[in-house]
Amino acid sequence: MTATTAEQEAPATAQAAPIGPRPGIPFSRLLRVEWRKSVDTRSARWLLGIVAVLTAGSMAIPLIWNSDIPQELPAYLAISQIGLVTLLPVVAIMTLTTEWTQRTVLTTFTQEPRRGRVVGAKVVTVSMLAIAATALAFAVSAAALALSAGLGRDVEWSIGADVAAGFTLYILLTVLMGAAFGAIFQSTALAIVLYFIVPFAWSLLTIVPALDEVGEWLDTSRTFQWLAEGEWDAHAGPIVVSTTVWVLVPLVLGVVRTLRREVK
Amino acid sequence: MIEAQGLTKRYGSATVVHDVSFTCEPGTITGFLGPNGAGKSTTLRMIAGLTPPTAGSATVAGRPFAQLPNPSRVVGTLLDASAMHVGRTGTATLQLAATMAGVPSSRVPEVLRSVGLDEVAAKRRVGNYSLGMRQRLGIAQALLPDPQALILDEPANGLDPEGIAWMRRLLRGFADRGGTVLLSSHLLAEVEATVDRLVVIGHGRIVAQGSLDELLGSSGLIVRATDGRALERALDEAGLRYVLREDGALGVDDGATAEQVARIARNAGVLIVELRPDDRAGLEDLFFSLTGHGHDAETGIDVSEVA
Repeated sequence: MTATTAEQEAPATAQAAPIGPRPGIPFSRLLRVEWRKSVDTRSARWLLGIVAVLTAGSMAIPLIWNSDIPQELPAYLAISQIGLVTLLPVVAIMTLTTEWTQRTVLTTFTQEPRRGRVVGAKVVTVSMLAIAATALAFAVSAAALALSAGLGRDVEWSIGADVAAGFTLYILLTVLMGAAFGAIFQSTALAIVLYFIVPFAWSLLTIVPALDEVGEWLDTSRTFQWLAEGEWDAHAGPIVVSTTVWVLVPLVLGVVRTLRREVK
Repeated sequence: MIEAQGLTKRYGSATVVHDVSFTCEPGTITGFLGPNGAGKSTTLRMIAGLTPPTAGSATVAGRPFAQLPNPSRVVGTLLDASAMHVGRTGTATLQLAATMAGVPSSRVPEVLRSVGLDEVAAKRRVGNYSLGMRQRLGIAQALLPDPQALILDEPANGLDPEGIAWMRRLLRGFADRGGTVLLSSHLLAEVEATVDRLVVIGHGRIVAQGSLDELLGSSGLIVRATDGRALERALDEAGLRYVLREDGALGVDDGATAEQVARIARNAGVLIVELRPDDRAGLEDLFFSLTGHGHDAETGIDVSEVA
């Protein structure tokens, strides 16, 4: 076993500094990495591109059917979010699941064994995406409304602070619900299917009159709608309960599962 | 530098890894050898903090892996070369690793060159890489933050002979600069020219460990006669066990000395044309006995007790 001269210059200063109190990985760096991972894949780019196109394209609806749809900012906003709330949660799901399906967790969790911080960075990443998407919805709605005004229509620019805040929160919670489903199921296909089917099945179930009252507290298609329309004052209880059940609980369970799961 | 202490992993009633202990010192390359399903990967994952052990513990640089503040700067790992995002290019994959470790991204092209991935390859998606290229990329990722140790699971898998020779030089250079290397393999031939020490595992238990010289220097002899049948008869009469090798010679692995064998042959009037020590008999037998294709399992277990 005589040493051959290394032809390739392999990088190793093996006798590097002894392991002292070396600084850990700052959260800002984790966040930068997770943001890049979330948006740098082909599927994520396609989805985000489609979201942008759909959001902009949806503005044709209030512009064309201007006699049926109020030419007001809240009405435009309500239409602009259609593509967004359908597809952005899928991006959020994939942000939380892709590493498991592609098995890159083998790398990620050896780079940062404190897995909770990695999940945290992913959740912050999708929250940032949600905020950016909300900003896009506002911008696109405002531009469309300006166009409408330019066409000589009577438009209403005012929007209540409660509606603006509720709308933002609505987008955020919808995306976080996707993240929570991704975190708990850790499989893209399963999480996407359940994300769309479970709340829908629940809404169907609450058609049964006996379940209607319970449904009001758990049916996000209703509670999130109240939120989006700025009616959260009147429905604070159901909104908080449904958010807890569909967002908070799965997210917490997802973190616990991530911490415990054996990485193979 | 890398220390495993009584590592044990049970899944239900199945014990996959049982009481595995070994140490890897700086400046050495340790081969973790065993057939498929022997528990190699599970052991490496326990060391890397990915699989919680049922019992025992492991440390890298004196700490449990999960307590290293920025582990990839201390120990580079390649646990599965196929576990990479297929949609990213080689460069993008390494840039993420560079950011994570906190090393400048100027290291990326440098380290890609050092593992023999050219600019064209670096721009391609990992999904289009061969397994050998993924191994190179994985090794590049492990080396990127300039760690003091490497843990590589089956790094030679998918590499051609030229690639294996390349990896041997790379790891030797790394160890010669004081680095610690732990690599696994299921092929003895693949690692025996690379490693200084061997830890042999079978059915989740360590069956032998020691320096390569200790383990390979066995008492086995290879003997060939003009009349092979006559030699077999003579050995039978002397009560020595032997195996018939594929090349027609006999492998005597029963603690007999060359002189003894030569005398037996002379007394039987058999002309010997070859008589030499068989460097690899012990370990190969041991290994064959583990894989279940053994021709002399008992001898293998004898060797295991040497450890």
